[in-house]
Formats: sequence, structure tokens, C-alpha cells
Amino acid sequence: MKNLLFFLMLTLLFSCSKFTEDFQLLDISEIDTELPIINIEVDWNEFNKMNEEFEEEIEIEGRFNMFRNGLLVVENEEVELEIKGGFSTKFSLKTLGVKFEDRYDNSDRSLINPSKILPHHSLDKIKAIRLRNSGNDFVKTMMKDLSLTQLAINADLNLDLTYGEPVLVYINNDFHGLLNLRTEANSHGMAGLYGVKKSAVTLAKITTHALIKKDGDFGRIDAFVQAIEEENLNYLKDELDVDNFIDYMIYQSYIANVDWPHNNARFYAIDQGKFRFVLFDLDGALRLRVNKEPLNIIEDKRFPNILTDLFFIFYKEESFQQDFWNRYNSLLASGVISYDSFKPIMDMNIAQINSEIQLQIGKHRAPRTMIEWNIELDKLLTLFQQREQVVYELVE
Amino acid sequence: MKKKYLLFFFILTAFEIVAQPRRSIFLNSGYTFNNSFQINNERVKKSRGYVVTLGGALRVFSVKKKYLSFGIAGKTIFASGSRNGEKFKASTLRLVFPLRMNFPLTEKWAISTGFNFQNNLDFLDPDFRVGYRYLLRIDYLAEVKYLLKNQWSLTTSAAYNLRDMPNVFFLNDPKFAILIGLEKLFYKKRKQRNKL
Repeated sequence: MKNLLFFLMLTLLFSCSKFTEDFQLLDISEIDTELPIINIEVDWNEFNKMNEEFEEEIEIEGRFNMFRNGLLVVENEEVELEIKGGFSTKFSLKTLGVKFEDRYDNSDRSLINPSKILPHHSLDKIKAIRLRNSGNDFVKTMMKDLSLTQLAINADLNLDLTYGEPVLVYINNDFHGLLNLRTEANSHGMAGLYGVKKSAVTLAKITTHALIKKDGDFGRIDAFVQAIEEENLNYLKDELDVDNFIDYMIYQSYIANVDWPHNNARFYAIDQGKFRFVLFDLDGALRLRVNKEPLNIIEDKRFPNILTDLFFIFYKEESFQQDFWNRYNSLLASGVISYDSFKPIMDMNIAQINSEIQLQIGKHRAPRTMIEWNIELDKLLTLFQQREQVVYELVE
Repeated sequence: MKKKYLLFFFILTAFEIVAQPRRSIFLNSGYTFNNSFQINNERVKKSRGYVVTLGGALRVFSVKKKYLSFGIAGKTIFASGSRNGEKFKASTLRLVFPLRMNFPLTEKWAISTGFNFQNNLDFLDPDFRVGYRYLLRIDYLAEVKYLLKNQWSLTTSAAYNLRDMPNVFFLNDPKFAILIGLEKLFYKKRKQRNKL
């Protein structure tokens, strides 16, 4: 009997499932892709070393070429490459940071060409991009971050965010992987969106471990953080773009991002302008806490953080509460962040990489099979639908 | 939080089983299947499989000849199907906690009804957390037993999932199951005390 019990407890530990497919994956030569293709020429030894020793933050030089519909649209641009990301650096296909020697002139939309750009943004000059492995979503859908960001763009929210699209990436003419070309959410990215120099940007990021002052006027960041600690609401009102803050908190709480607000949060200001928050890295959305109230998502009892503190300092004011919930209700009522708005975005993104994902499966086993990719896509859509329903009921 | 306590309760109860006198072991196997459903806008066809369950149970409460049993079992499912012309197979291992009320009808025949509680996600899945909405699957179970001899019984049972869950969870562990199996009861013999 003891043996039986031991076997059963082992069953829990090895509780697992494995999918296999009787399905021939397409080869690179069999795919007639409409995705942009990027080929980066590098020194193989340097590239391999950068990949293997990704924690060393090694930068290497390369030459960047890009094709759209078979036409060479970016030719031989000098770039610096670096492995980016946190946990996702452990995957076989890593996120690559690509920094151009000079600001790239994207006014002809050759480098990045999203279907829609928010009216207060510009993508004419780009200093750096990221070829992203979709973070923690790498082994799952490869499109969660892109799709949820596109939803925010289509909803015309008062946000600063990233723009992206899927691309096929080659290194020295060898297929490397399916990645998402995305603008940066750092000082380069914000400077590009507003057409200013990087030196004009003051930016800090909130991570699980610390607040990191990245660029600009550190004294101003310190004063802002101190005002949060001292609950100095009048100072914070002067320093914070409240309309942006409300939209940002609504959207993140609506999509139930569990890798936030203690992490993946950045605030920045241009010159002496007000601080705004940047929406990026939404891979942690729609996972575990889809049945939680928006305020519960923001409260985040697991990791104390200044973003939660900042929100609840404002939330003590009745006028802010009214503004917050009125905006929540109006966004829900308008349907701009509804499942009906999200589904077409997903359908379009699925159609875009439906063939190309097979190359990813063939090379990286991530996702492991087509059926598992479809399972994850279905889960994402179902969870969105449920989240919408939960938030509707809770907010009403 | 309630789910967390429920899980602890299951685990502690499982440990209790080995220390108790009235227990049984069982082996079930059978056919498992789904009705037609869609995954990511495409119909999944021929979603079915073969399931084997091996476990033990403990009589925890009895009134007259009726009794409640609680157990622990390992369940292996070999499922298959096709979606959009792509055939797939899936092998899955799960831990099951059956809770059953048993009603003897005659000396030979008995019926039981109850629920199977099981984890629904892989142990190493990042979503495997107590708070996850679909962590727990609950199957309704109805069983007929026929006593063969020496406390060996032949069983026939049917099970189906009760929880409203996304279809994706039924791909590798279908919603319905029809099973046959064997069950062996154990009774600890009481020592006779000599009266002086």
C-alpha cells in the first residue's frame, strides 16, 4: 500500500501531458510569406558568444537588411545588437535589441509599418527597435503583447506604447526565428514617438526588485518618488498627467496583467512636461487573475510598489474616483476594448503567421505543436471573453 | 483561499488512507470521448481516447450498510483527434481524488455515485497555481459493482465533467468516459482476545 501511495504522489509531481502530431510541418522553402524578412549579417563567433553569455550584456556590431514583399527596403544599415529581456532570455530564441548607428528615417514606413498610429505619436525617426520573442508568451501564442497593444491603439486611449509587427529573422542568411519587430519602450522609444532628442527624456522603470532611474533628471524622479512616499497629492497632481494615468491603470487592470504593477512599468517626462506611463510587455495579461476586480489587480498585495501607492493616493479623492469609474464605464460602453474589438485583431494576427509559426515549431519547438499553438490561442480568446464579462459585472 | 484549504484537505486525507483498516484498490479502464467542438474557430473531429485509472480508496463514514469512500488515483489518458485536417495525439497523466457514496443493493450488487476531483493542468505549467480558475476538474461518477469472490468486484462506471470550462481542456482529457474495472476490498482482521 505504501508503494501505491508513493506511486500516486509521484503522479502528481509528474502530472503532465504531451502532444504529438501526425502532421508535416512546412519548410522555409515551401512558405510564400507576406511577412517582412530581416537578414542581419554578423560575425558568427561574436553572435554565438552573445547568445551563450546573454547575462554579460555583450554588444556586437552587424549589418541590417530588410525585405518587404520581396523588395529590399532597408539596406546595409549599421547596427548594434544586444540580447534583451529577463526570464525569456532562457529560451532558445532570444529577444534582440537592435540599435541603429544613426536615427533611421522611417517616414516611408519601410522599417515599421503599423496599420494605425495614435495621433499624438510619430514613427518617422527610429533609433532602436527590438526583435522580440514575445517574452513569456514565446512558447504559447507569440501574439499576446502585439494583439493587446493593437487593441489599445485602435481604442485611441491616451497612452504611450509600442508599435510592432511579426517578422521572419535570418542571421547571415540562416533562418533564425519568427520574432516581433517592436519599437522600444525606453528613452529612445519615447523620444522617437514625440520627435525629440533622447537627452530631453527623463525615464524611470519599476521592476520587481527596484526602481531604476534610467535617463534624464534623476533629481526630478527622486522628488516624484518622495512625494509618493509622503502622499503629497498636490505635488503629484502637478507632476503627473492624470488623464494618461487613468487610461493606463484602466487598461492594465482590464486585461488583468499579473506581471504588473510591480514590474513592467515605466514613467517618463519630456523636458519639464508631466510624467506619463508607458504601456509595454503585456505577456502577463489574461492568465491567472481574470476573475479579480480591477482594484484588486492594481492593489497587488504580493509585491509592494510605488505605482500601487501612487494610484491609491489619488483614489482617496472622490473626484478622482468619479473620473476613474466614469472613464471605465464609458470605455466599456463604447465597446472599443471589448471582445468584439479584440477578436478581429487576433484573427488578423493569426492569419498573418499561420504558416510561419510552423517554421518556429520546426526550429525551436515553441510552441511544441500546431495543436498546442491553437490551444493557447483559444485560451487567450476565451480568457478575454471571460475577463470582459467579469469586468462588466464588477464595474456595474 | 478556499481552494488552497481544499487541496490540503485532499492531500492529508490521502495520507490517512494507508493508516486505516477498511480500504480498497481499484483499476479502471475504458473509452473516453467528446462531442464535436471548436478550437480556435476550427472543428475538432474524432476527439476520443483510452483512459486507465489506478488507485486506492478508504471507507471514511458509514450508516448501516451505506458508506462514503474517499480515494486517490493516478489517471492516464491517451487521447487523439483531428483539427483542420491535422491529426494529433496526447498522453496525459493526472491525479484524481474520487469521493463516492456506496449503496449496497443485494449481497452481490451495489451502486455508487460521487465525484472525481482532479488537477486539470500540468504540474510544470506556469499556470499551475491554486488560484487558477481551471485548476480543478470535477467529474460526476456513477458506478455499478458486482461482487465476484474474495472481496474482488467487477465494476462498470460512467463519468462526465461538470465544470464549465473552455473546450481546450477536453482535448487531452475528454468530457465523457465509460469504464470497466476491478476493485479489491481489504479488511483488517481483528485480533481475538482470550478471556481469562
